[in-house]
Amino acid sequence: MIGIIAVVVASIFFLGVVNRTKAIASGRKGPGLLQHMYDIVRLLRKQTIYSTTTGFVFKIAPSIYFSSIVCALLVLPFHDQQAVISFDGDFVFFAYMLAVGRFFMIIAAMDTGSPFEGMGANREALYALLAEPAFFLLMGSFAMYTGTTSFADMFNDFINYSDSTSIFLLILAFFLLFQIMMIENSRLPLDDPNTHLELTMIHEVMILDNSAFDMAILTYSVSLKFAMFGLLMCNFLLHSGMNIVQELLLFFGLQFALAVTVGMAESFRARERMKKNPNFIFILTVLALILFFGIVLIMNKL
Amino acid sequence: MSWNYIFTLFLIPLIVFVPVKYKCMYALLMNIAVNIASGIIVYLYLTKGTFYSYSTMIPLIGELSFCVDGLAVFYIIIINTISLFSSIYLQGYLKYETDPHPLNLHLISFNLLQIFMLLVAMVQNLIPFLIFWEIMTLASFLVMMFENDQKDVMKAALYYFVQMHICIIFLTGGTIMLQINGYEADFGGLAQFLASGKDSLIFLIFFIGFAFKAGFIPLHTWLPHVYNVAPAHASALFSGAMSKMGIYGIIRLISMLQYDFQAYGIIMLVVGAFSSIYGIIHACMQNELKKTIAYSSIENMGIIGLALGLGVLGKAVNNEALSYLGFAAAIMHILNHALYKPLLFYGAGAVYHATGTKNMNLLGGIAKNMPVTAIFFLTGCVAISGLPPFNGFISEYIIYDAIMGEFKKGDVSIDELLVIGLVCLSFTGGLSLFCFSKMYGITFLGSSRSSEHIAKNEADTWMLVPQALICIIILCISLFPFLLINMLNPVIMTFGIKNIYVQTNTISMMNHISIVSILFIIITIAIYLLKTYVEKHNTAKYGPTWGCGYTAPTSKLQYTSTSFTQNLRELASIIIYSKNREKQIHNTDIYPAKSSYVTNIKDVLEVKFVTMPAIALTKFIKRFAVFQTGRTQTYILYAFAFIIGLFLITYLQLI
Amino acid sequence: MTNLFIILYCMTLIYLINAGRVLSYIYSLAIQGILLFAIVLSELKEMHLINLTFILLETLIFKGIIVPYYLYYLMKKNNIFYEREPDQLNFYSLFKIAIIFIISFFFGYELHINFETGNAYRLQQHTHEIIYFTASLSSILTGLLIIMRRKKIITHIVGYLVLENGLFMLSLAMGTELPIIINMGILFDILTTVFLLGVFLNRAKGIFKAIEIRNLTELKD
Repeated sequence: MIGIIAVVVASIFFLGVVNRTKAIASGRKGPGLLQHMYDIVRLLRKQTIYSTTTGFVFKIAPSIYFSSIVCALLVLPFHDQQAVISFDGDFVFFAYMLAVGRFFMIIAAMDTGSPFEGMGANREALYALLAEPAFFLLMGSFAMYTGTTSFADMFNDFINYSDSTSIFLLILAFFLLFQIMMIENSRLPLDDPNTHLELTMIHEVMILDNSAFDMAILTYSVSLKFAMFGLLMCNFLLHSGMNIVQELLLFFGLQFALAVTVGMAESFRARERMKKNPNFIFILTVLALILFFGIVLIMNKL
Repeated sequence: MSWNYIFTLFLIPLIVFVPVKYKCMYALLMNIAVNIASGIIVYLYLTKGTFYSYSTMIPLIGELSFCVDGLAVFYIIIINTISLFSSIYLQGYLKYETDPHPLNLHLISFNLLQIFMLLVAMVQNLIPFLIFWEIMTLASFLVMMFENDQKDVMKAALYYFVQMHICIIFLTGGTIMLQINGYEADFGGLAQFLASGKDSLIFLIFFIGFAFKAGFIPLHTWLPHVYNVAPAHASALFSGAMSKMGIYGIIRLISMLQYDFQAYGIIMLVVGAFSSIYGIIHACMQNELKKTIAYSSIENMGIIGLALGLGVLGKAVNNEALSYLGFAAAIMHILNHALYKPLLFYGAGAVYHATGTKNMNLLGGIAKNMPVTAIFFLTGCVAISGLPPFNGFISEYIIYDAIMGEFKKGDVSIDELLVIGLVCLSFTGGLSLFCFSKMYGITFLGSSRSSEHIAKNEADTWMLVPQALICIIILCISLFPFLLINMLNPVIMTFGIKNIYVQTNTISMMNHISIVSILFIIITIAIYLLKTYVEKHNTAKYGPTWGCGYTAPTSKLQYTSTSFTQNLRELASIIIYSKNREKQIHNTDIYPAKSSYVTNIKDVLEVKFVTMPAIALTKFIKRFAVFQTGRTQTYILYAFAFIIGLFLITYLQLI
Repeated sequence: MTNLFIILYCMTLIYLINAGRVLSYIYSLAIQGILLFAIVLSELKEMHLINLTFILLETLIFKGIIVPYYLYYLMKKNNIFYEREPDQLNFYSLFKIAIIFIISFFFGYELHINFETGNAYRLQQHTHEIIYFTASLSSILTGLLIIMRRKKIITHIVGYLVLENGLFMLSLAMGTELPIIINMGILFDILTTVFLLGVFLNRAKGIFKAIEIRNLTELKD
């Protein structure tokens, strides 16, 4: 339970920190850390506008999207604090839960009948499918290392600070998770949330026709997803020697670092050309393969 | 017990005398009769356990005996359920047919197909097995060419006919090989032969024969054509039950296998993994609704093959958990696929019925006029994409769990295979999401892409009832999978697994999945209620879709199936022959002519393994066309020469 | 430590196969040279002065500095900055390298099973051999892939060099002591290749407009 509360708290500030970092990097003062939440609250008070083309799918899709993220959050533990529900192979459930949300967002975008939204839906589907094997290989490697298939035990004391290979593999895993997080949230280098041309958007163009409550939960779910992946990464670092205060400090520190990294990456990096994206995403799978072999090595399986 | 069937066998042809209006009803009646007959068998199994019928000698065929074990009952239930649903569905689908002759043939063979599938699932002796298999094939051949006035239907039917006979050649060859080696031509003899470990080629021969029916690559080429042109209820029965008979054969083979687990496990795993990827990529590429579903059938067969491969590998490395999970996943997936695939075919058939086209690029916005079909179809799409909280997820999940559980224990070479399986499975998951979100989005959502093909009203109630029933079953399985796995345990036991610990473990896993699935639904409903509560204060407004600054959007601007797959088509160009014919508008044209863009997609394996050899063969055979002069006199001369030649050969004692 | 360097080495292969700029090829070659130096250094049991000098000369100086610098010079001189394949998707190269990794790991492992003699110390030795074998095989195959797939002469040289690095690793797998003779042979071989091609590049510029392999086919009778 503590994990969920921590994630919710972190999600409130996450995008604020990202935006502030971007502002400072570009020499502006930037909005307050909570500006994002104010926007969401304001959206809640707005009137809903539906397109006449849309039907029931468009109305339920944002709710399903949000609840899929909440459900995915339920299986994430906070180190030895048990997840709300934990069972063998729950990371499969985690990945597939995110996929459910994606499925409904895609068909909701198709429901508007807009060519731009169809384009966004297509890209989202393609990039997500290319990123899927990387996540499963990553998790499979850790499942192999620990011999368990549940999030609860998968991260248990993976890191061995005396072995340089294991530290390196941890860094690689972090990198992979970070990139998968960026893909899941449609951020750079795949997609630029600040772009103003619909032809180059992915996620933003899919939610062009959403408004009010739907828009509010869609906006919030971005921060929630960020914080959720932050928790996933944090679980690698937490180890049994820590008490709960240290763990929480580490968690929030990591979230802050992640947010700053995202902000810095977005300030100093340009979006890739659309044609290059599949390549970029598939590299992650190959790297995950390397990680897999690396873990075979450090397990002395040969 | 087969007397029940024989009684109905005599009743079925009487359909000829039934008035056209009631023919479909009569077929349904026959179907129910068969269902009751097999219901008795299932009841006997449930009370007595596995039982055998007395073997009877039948002239010309030889010995005939039946065995009803868990697997047979599982298949009986699947076949009966799907054919019952199909017979209900065809009441609506064939409502306006007035010509009695094709209807007679179609319905008779439809009923025969069901009966002979049931017999195939129970028979023990190989020669009757082959005969029943052949009648099953012929019946399905007649069923599929219902609209035989169309050219592509006949073409596909011929395709099917030829390929299925290659399949039978393999099965017959295997049987002959068995008898040459001096074993009884029944499953017992086959088991003895495989147990003796003398020659494992026979396994491969039978495997290839069954793989034809199941549709593993590269033997899948008949499948998309047939499912595309057959009427919806027939396609549903084909994919839901008939092509599963191939899997049935493979399962029977596996349960007899004693040696070489590793080699066959690897073969099945690799074939399954590649079939699934190949099938789903081609499913993504198709523009025709039923062809998409047909190709996804190959994908699902691939997943079943992968799961079976895992099970066999588990036997090879003596890991009961892997075996159990692999086989359980295979059995579960057979059941799941037998549910959502007919559901999708029924939906596609309803769309075809309402709009008159199968081409997705002409459809769109059907959900508005056919909301009930749209909801059922959506259920099918989510389920087949393997997404929670629906049943497709459960079987895929078990496969993942099997793979992950084995990782630590297995040695490196097994691990590598598992990694291939894992990557293929996760790719397949993502691709099926791509495929079915596209299919649903293009067909049912947005607005209509052409003015001629608009669905006017909801499908017939007869057509909706089976869909509703399947949806209810899917929901039950999805929310209470632990009940199902309990029921399927006797079937999984066919593979000879004894470990109880694994079963209880799996059941607890299923419990958890059921809890999270229910939680997911509750949370979704809660958020939706919150939304309605928040929106209560300000009534929703309706307006046109935001056109991104373009003021005159038409429905033709929407993304089509072709454009949706454009980037994937580029990435997957290695297994797709895609030809674009493009006529662009040039800047210099003052009065531009009509521009066009045509994409033609071909199945690489089909071209390589069927079309090109067929062309080469035709070329070769055409050389003999000189003998075909067309004059009767010459033909008589040939006969004369033949007789003389025969006489000479015997005279000179050459043979 | 060796494991880490070998993993890094494999990652440079991914970078190489996906690169489009000639400069990236040169950088990754330099990094490979340095990594090879690190691998040999961490594997070295005893330090002889001659050994050390030779290693330093071959890996760090030659592979890590001289060859990349020379390639850089050639690149500048001939104005070849990009190696683009407009029709060919790099996506498949990634598939291929994934398959290469899987295949070479598989072969490395199978080799181990054939050699297995039971003794724990030997097993430890073999583990290292497997790793070297895997890395070298994937390096060789990657080099071949680059040669097969790329069109420019300079990228062909890069392919040869990657191949040579793979052979170097293979020689490490064969024994713990440095097989100086093998290395010398390979070294001179590659030296001549590089310089010959370099000279060729210098000369060819005047005759052909673009430095592409395609043009060489025109030289046939």
